[in-house]
Amino acid sequence: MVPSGLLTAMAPAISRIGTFCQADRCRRCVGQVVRRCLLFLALLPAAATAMLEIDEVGLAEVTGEGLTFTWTDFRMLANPTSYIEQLGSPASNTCTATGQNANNYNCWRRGDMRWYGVNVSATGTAVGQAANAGAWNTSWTTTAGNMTQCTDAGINGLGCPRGGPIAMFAPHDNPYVLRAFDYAGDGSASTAIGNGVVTYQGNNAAAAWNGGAGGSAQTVLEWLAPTSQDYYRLSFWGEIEVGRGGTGSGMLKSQTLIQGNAARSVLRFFKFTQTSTSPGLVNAFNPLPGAAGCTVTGCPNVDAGGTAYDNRTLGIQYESYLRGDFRFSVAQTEAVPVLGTPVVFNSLEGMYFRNADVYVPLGQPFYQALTINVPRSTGSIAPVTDGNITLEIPVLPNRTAVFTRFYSLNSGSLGAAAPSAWDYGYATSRAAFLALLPPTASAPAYMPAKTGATVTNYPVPDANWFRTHGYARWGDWFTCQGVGCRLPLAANSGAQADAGVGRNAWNSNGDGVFFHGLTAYNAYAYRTVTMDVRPGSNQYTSVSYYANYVACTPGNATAYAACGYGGAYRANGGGTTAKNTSTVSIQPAENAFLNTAAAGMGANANRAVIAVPANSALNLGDARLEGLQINFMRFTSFGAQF
Amino acid sequence: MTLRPDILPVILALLLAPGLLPALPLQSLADEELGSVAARDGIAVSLDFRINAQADGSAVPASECPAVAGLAAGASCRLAVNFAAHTGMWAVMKSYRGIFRLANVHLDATNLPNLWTVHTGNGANQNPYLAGYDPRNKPAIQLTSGPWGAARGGTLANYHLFLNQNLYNDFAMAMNIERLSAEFDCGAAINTAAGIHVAGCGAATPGWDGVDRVPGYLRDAIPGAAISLRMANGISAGNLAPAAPMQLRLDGRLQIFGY
Repeated sequence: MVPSGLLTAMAPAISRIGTFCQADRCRRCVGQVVRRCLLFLALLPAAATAMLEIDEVGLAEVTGEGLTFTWTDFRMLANPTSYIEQLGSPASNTCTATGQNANNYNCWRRGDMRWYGVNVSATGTAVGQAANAGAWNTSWTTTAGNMTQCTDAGINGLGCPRGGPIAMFAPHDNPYVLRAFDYAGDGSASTAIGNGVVTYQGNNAAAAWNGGAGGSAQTVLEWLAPTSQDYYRLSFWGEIEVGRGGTGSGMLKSQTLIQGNAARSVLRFFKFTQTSTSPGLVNAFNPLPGAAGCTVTGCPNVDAGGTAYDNRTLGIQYESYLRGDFRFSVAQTEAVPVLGTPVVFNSLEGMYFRNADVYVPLGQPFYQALTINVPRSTGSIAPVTDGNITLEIPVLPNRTAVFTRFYSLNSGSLGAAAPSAWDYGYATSRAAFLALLPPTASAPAYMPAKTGATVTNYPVPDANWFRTHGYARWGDWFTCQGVGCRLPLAANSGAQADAGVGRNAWNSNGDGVFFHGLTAYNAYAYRTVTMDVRPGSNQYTSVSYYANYVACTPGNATAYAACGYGGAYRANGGGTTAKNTSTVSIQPAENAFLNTAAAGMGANANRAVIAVPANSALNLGDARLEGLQINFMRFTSFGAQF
Repeated sequence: MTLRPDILPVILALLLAPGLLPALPLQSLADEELGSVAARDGIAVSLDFRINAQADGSAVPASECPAVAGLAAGASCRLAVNFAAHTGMWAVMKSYRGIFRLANVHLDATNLPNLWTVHTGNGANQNPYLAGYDPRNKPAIQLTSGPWGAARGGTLANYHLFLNQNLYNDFAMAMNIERLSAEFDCGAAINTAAGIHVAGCGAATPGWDGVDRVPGYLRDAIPGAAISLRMANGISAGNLAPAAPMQLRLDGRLQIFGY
């Protein structure tokens, strides 16, 4: 049932693979396989499931679109002494001294990194395993030949690196899918499977969904994650080693734990559509507008010498959806500074990102993709032959069909009756976020109503906006703060923050970004402000400073004098006129922070710092990045020339 | 860099892609070995796939990769990849060797559960990529590995028996890329949309355009590396170049069906 197109889809993109595996050795390898198969047939355990007769009726629905992979009770554990290593090499200009010494300036040290014990297993608080959570959780070390049991599950199960099996890593009705597929542009809606093919040429005028004669169908090989799957734990421990064999060497062991999943992610391979006749923006090897062959929409992809650039090579597109909790830690219960020896890490210490929700689109089908290339000389397509490799998302082309899709021009029409007229144009990330707010009258009191003819501030973005714009959200961002949201009627308590119905307390470990340290220290930080100086009503031109301190009330313009870390201050950044010429500065007084017992921060008043006790969290709050787009990206390796 | 489990089947598919294994002669079957086969019980598969590697993961002798063009014996143990539209440019993995070894993967047939799970909202939010295909109670190929699995009566009590660290032997994987860098076809200098040559190699065998050249995968003009990677097991201060493959344990069941 392997689709015939599965391998041919790869063929145009990879023209040749040369291997120097010696034929004799390969024959010996495969000869062993044949012999072992025969032996195992004879030694097969009797408890194996008997083979089933193929059911004609059950198979009648199969159309040959693709293959699916269902993982049940899945767990993958690498031996904690097994690793993936990125090797370094001695530099030609190696440092020969340490500290404040001329032989320690402008020089290099070798660096090696290793990732040990990569494993995928169930979370520390997996449903159905709560009663046995302790027994399933193990650490990196061994005791008397067995995996060492991990006794402290830590914060939300992030204290132990490894667990038991994942019941539904990919259930049978929502599996991983591998298929070769033709995107024929059927339907331009963002929810349509075809979603209107747009190529680098921007020639979707021919597309069938756009009333054209049809064509520009694009074939892909794609690997699709389930749209919903159990949360699981992905972890590894690592070593960063600097200066191996030289002066000033050192090693750091660390642990990385991720508890969540990557459901909805998609990995696609296709033939990139950037041809030599495609127009590009002015880049390293495009002549300036006005040169021969240029039009108002761009210039042909040639260099100053007239050599054309054809980039119809392997294109990789990755829609990365990640959600869950992330923890990075270095503290060990007992340090063992020996290369390659697993250690037990402290169950609480580390840097945490809780309730993370991230979407990063690397490339868009089919006008933008990650390509593998070599660096090119400035102003020419001639390659730089120093041996380095680039990973590049080429510059977005200046073609109407491409940028209207990428920036998601809304299909509302200018001049039409309200509210359609207000929907026309390119939505900003702020407007797109507001469009996600519930529109009903039963919305929480802190969110403005979004109804019919009174909607003037929330142009609904084109649905493609949410496919071409990424986001990174750390924490649940409660309550809706800042632009477009009404102020909270009252400051929230620490208990409300931890319960998910209020802002994070300064020492909350239930949400957002926080550090958990093992020793006492003093912390000092002022909260970030939200700022929007676009013309409009007050809420769009205010500078807002929010925190969680009961003595500070919203709307009090002088409150900032009494509130530092823990105050609400709101200054009007301008009026409702179109041009904002006001200036506002926020200058919290040096000792404005009130460290009182009522805020849960200790007994000393008028201190400029928070005295964080040992073994406590320090919460930096929630963070949100919306409207993330990659117009151009290039990674170039560095080291082949040394 | 993380090893994403969701791309593991892609790695398997690429490693097992046909074309890398040449055709081999048939071998005669031994009747006494087959005499105890009852059939209908299933199939067990083991795979031992090696490129330029010995069973313990160390490199093959240099004589196995003979001298060719400007490369000394042993230096021709490499894997090179060329991408479409970039003729004349190669990503060369030098001193390349690898092992992929599956031990005792059981291959059965089974019917999928006759129910919707919570991950489709009990049938309300089906996976759109399945295009309406109903997988309930349909046949599927099932692979199981390792000594524990719920399908085989695995329980918490049994699990404790398998805490022994020696049970990371379901599959082994090793890879060594000493240096990865870009190498270019070398001959008369050409720089066109059709391909690239660099100059400086003198006459050689005719290339893709009839012009004499040395192909990039047979050159070692770049002394450094853009990146170097290794997958192995076991390391100590005195032995920084181990050869043993990574050891991995797989639990559970993998079911594969087409739709």
